[in-house]
Amino acid sequence: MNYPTQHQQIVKELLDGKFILSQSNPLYETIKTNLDFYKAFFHTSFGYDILQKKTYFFLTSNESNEKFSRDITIFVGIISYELDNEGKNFQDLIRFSIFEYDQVDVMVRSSVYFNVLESIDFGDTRRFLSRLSRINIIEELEGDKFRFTEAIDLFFDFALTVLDQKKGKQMEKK
Amino acid sequence: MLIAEPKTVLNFLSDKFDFMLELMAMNKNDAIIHDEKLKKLCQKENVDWRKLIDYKIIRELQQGDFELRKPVEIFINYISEDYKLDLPENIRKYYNSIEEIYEKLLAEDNLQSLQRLISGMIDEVQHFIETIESNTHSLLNESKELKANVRKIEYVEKIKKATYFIDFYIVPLNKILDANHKGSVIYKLSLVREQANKERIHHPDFASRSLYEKLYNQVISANVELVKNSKVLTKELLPLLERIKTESQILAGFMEFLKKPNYYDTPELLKRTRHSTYDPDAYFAAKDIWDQLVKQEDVFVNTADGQQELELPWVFDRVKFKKIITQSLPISNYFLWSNNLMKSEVTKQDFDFDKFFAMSALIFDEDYEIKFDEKERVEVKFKDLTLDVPCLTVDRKAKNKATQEA
Repeated sequence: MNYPTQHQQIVKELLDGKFILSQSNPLYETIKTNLDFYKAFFHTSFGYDILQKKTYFFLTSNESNEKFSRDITIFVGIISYELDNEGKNFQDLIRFSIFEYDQVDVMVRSSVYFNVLESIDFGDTRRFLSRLSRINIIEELEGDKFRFTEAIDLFFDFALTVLDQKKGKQMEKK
Repeated sequence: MLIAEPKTVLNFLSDKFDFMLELMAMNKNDAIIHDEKLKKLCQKENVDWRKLIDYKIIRELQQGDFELRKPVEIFINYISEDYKLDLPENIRKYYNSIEEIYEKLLAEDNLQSLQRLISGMIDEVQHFIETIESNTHSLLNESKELKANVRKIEYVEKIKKATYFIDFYIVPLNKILDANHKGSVIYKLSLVREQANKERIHHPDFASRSLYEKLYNQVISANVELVKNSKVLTKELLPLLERIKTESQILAGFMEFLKKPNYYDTPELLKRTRHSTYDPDAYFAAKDIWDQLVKQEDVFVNTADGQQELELPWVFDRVKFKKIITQSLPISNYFLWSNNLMKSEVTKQDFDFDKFFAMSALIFDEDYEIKFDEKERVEVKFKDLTLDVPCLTVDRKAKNKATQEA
């Protein structure tokens, strides 16, 4: 049987919990071309599902007992709130601009929601950001800088579903 | 009739401009100016309130309150660029008025009436342009204010307001300005332009030609202004409001989540897994296992004559003995009973202390109930040891007993 090109790297990265992003990434194109194969492969071999969003792929499992996703959502929520509070277009900024580690550290630590971050396994901002980097949610740049990748949209979409769920519950009450 | 000279009124407005702005705000907030509030403000600013009536700035209402006169309100709003949003219906009315004048223009033969109609059309177009301009300006201001959230309103409220601006103002305004839509004012103006263009050249009367020329230029510049405003609405205002709406929705979602971070199921990601499909040592690991399987050497047990028969070690079978206990319940003297049992079971080895201990452990099970009398004791003898133990009575627990009987 012939496996797709760079199959080994694709499997390794996805099993490492990484997002495979579309931006000039041959792995993304390979998965896109062989999506049916990869869906069957991961489901049969590991019981995982490969999810395709607008510009990225990632593996998901409802049995993974994974907590990092909650931590990331809290972190992104706080950054969004603080940027909006400064009167900025947080969505565009998070999607397209470059951040400095120290700037983000100050932002989260002075946030009114910092107590929520303290309640999770956040620790040091730099360590947390390097965890995000390991799964391609941010891209580390030179000079203590980084930018968020398109994988951040997963958390924006999640926030919209929270609002829908809340509205749904309010409707049920009525 | 205006009692004061126009210059005096203008001087008053200029001198008391801040007072006028406060008066405007009062009128805007309450829709009228309450008598009490007006007099308080006048006293504070040292203004004789009667002058406001003489200068035709306010009008007294039946119930004793006041209202700002429309021309003054429009003038102050105009110079301070603070416009009130008009209802889309108020803007759409220009479609009817322009259409009506246009139809009359086509049919009018009387020169004097025709010239009045052309002048009327010029005025109407001018009003229409100014209304569109002031509304676009207001919407932009309102939207920017909403974006900066100067009033610190909740995100859910922001979503409502952005949606309201889009649905109630932008969409109807876009329809009014849609040149491809026959019911739009801009389409009607294109017909006026065609007519004016034709008549400014061919009309036999010079004065009418001049007026048509003015109307033509007016409509051309109106068109430029309308396209400009339409672009602001669709390219700037609509995306801005849509962004405010989406951003507010996202933020409202995040705020709700941050309130209860453990209540909602976050996106399911994959926990990093340790297994590797491509273990570089997989070949050697597999080879080791294979070698063990295929090259396993046979083991021979020598039981030839003259040698003692091989004795296999005795292993305590917990399940077997528990079954025997259960079948023999109730047992009146457990240690004595188990001692006898072991003697019959363990044929080739003595009933030593370890086996006694293994048997003793079995009765401390949830299924059994143990009773004993401290005075009654029994001796259990081993090879090198004699134990003085109580006489235990073992039976099923009452609950289990009831179930079994049922």
